[in-house]
Amino acid sequence: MKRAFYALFLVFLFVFPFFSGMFALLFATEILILSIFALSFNLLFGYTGLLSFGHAAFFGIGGYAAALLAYHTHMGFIPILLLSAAVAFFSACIIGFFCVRRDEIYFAMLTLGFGMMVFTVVHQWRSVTGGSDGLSGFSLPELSLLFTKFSISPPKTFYFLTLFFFLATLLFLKRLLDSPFGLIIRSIRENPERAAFIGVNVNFYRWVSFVIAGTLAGVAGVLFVFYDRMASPSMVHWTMSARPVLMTILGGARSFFGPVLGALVFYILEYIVTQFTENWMIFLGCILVPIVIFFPDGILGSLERWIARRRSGE
Amino acid sequence: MSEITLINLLNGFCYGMLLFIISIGLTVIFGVMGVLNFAHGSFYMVGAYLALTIIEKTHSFWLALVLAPVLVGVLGTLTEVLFLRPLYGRDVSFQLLLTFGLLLILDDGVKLIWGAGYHSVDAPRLLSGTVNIFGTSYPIYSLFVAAAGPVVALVLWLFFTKSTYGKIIRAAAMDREMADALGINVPAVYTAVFFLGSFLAGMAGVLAAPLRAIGPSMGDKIIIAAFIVVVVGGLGSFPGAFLGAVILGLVEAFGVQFVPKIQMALPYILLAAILLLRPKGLLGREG
Amino acid sequence: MTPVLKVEGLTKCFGDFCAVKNVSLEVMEEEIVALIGPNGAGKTTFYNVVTGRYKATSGRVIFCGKEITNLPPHRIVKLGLSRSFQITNIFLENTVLENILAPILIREGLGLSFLKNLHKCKKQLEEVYNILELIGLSDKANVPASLLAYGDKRAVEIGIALATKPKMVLLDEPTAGMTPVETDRMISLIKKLFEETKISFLITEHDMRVVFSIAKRIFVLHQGELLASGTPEEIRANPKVREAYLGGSVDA
Repeated sequence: MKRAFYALFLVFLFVFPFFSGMFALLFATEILILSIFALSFNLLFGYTGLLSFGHAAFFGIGGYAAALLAYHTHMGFIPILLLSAAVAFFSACIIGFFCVRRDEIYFAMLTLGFGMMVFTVVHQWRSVTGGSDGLSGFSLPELSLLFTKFSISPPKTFYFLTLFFFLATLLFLKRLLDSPFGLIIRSIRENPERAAFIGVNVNFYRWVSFVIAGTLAGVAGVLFVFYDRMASPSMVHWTMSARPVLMTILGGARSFFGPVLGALVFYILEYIVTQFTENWMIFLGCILVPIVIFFPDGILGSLERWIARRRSGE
Repeated sequence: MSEITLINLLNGFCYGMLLFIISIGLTVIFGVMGVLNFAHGSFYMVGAYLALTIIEKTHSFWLALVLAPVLVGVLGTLTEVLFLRPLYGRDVSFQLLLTFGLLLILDDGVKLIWGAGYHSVDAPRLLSGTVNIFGTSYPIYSLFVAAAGPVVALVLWLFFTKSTYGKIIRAAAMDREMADALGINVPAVYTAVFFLGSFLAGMAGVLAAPLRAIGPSMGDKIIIAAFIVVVVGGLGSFPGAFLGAVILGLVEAFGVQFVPKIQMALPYILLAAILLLRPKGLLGREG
Repeated sequence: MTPVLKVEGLTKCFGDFCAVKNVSLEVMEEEIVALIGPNGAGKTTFYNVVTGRYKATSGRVIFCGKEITNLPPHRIVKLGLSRSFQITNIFLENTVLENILAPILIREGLGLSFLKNLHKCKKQLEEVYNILELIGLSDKANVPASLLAYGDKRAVEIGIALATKPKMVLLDEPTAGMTPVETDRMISLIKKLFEETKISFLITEHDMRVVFSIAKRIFVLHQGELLASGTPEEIRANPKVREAYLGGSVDA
């Protein structure tokens, strides 16, 4: 039943562009990109037990790296993606090294702090990053596949490119979580102290998880920059870090697809709410508070629990 | 000592004392309850906005200095009783998320009430003007803020070491179960502590109002500075918060003078250095 | 016989208060030893210092001839010194199988296998089932640990300690909070483990019935200091021990 549902959803994702309008197509592309971002965040939060308030740092670093490469070089999409992911990887190595040195509460503070550090650098270093104007006006790189070059500029092409990365992220994370590494990080989430007493170097594994999550966020950032055709400081602001947090909480941090559902609901809510009011953040805060108190498992987690209870009841 | 050095020294200390009053509120709450309040900076901001309104209505800075912190304290109390209580005993992430939700509400909420623009407040007449220090004129109000820090520190120290209530709070901080067994009403202590911490944030907000622009993002900036202070000093340590605040204040002030290009990055370099060399913080206890 | 664990002059102070004062003791290979003392005698603190949870104020801990004083817990575990906790301290949301599998994977250096499926770790899973058999939880392998009965959770606690393949295990009040039936089950489990694995055990316990039925040698800790040591008979007859217990706690 669950499987059939996911299969149906997958089919929908593939045929969707052929009957949707332009607005819906762009909307869906953005949701998929943010889903990748939220999924990467949830590797840290839902599976390693680390709540990061600075995940946008890597989203932005990946994005800015891609924008700079597209601006200053003629590289193709794949080399740009790989290089930008590498930049995000190294940044995550360095920042992560500091952030995992103390417990979870410190982690939350430090990620917010270092996230704002990246924002400050992006915002102040006008000559390179364009400051508050951001970077735009670069030409989109071409995608070389099987000796052919594609333009990634048609929205449909870009949608499928994004869909590819979305599915690849899902597969990669699924494998990761079912691996010994996945069990170790889940054990750390459950009980970091006990994990140390079974021989786990807790900080090291947290660091590895942080780096994987940061690199994935960087990939999402690359896609976002080419989708948006610009890299702007808002990509690294703490309000962008708040997005995956809210999406994941909304969808359910303990459910594999929670962040994806969360991203979808988040965007639909944002679309509706911002038609009526500019104060979208108040609205977000007002749904976050009751969710945290009454539905800590999010929509999907609560739904799964409800179904399980009904089944066992019958 | 050159004139600019002296001014930076005074500026750094003044800003440091403001940071201290904010950070000590954060650290009191964390030290006793183990809760990190992400909305602490927003409480500070609300304190400044309340001061703005009270001063507009009554033209009395001194009334604002008394009333606004109490109101912010009440806000904190409501937060604790209504929202945080259901979360004790659950994963700390949920407490962080909850206070984060509060931050979103307050940051956007002040825009609804006071608008998105920036506001300013004059220093009270008694403290306006400048004073001559070694041939340099310096605003009296800044000196007042610089003096407020040590006064708050002294009052808190007396409260926690000499008064019965202070001792009860310390007992609850050290061992919750033991405090329960001794008949201490721990939930009431938690609420009182949240009031105290929020009160301090609100007070810092009022003190900051004549010094800095009052705007919707003032809370975000200060909460990050406060986080750096408590990590540098040692989270939960009172003297650590004082030391951390003075250091950060001076680093920011002298950064402008000596290394203006990377001045913005200095607090983070300080943070990284402490994490590398002394992850517990300068005066942090073994955890 | 050579000592597995050798503690020399171990002291742990928190500010002015010293919970463990100048304690020296040795545990030999293939030996079950008990560490007893009234509540607050410093038993758990002693464990916490030996296993790296707290830093020692002074003194040395030597394990299998290597100094391990103040090493981080995960390094100490890798050298073969494992422990259980007084308050059940397991991975509650994980299944029983996963609780036991994680330490095995870490021990074998597989923690960074990112893409290998857990089901393909055949050799390690086999070992898990052996341990489950030993602790009597074979039929509960796929149950989340949070759903287990109290006694079973305590057994998982022991299973986790065993899965690190230790040379020695420190058990912190393994029967705390148990019913008499569960206690008997735990005693026979520990005896069985000792017979089959010849791992050295150091057990803290306040239930004297348990101590006298398991331990060959007993150390008595009182107000952080080592008060006495000897065979169960010697300890029973020791007037200082009687005084400490009667003055402190009603357990004895």
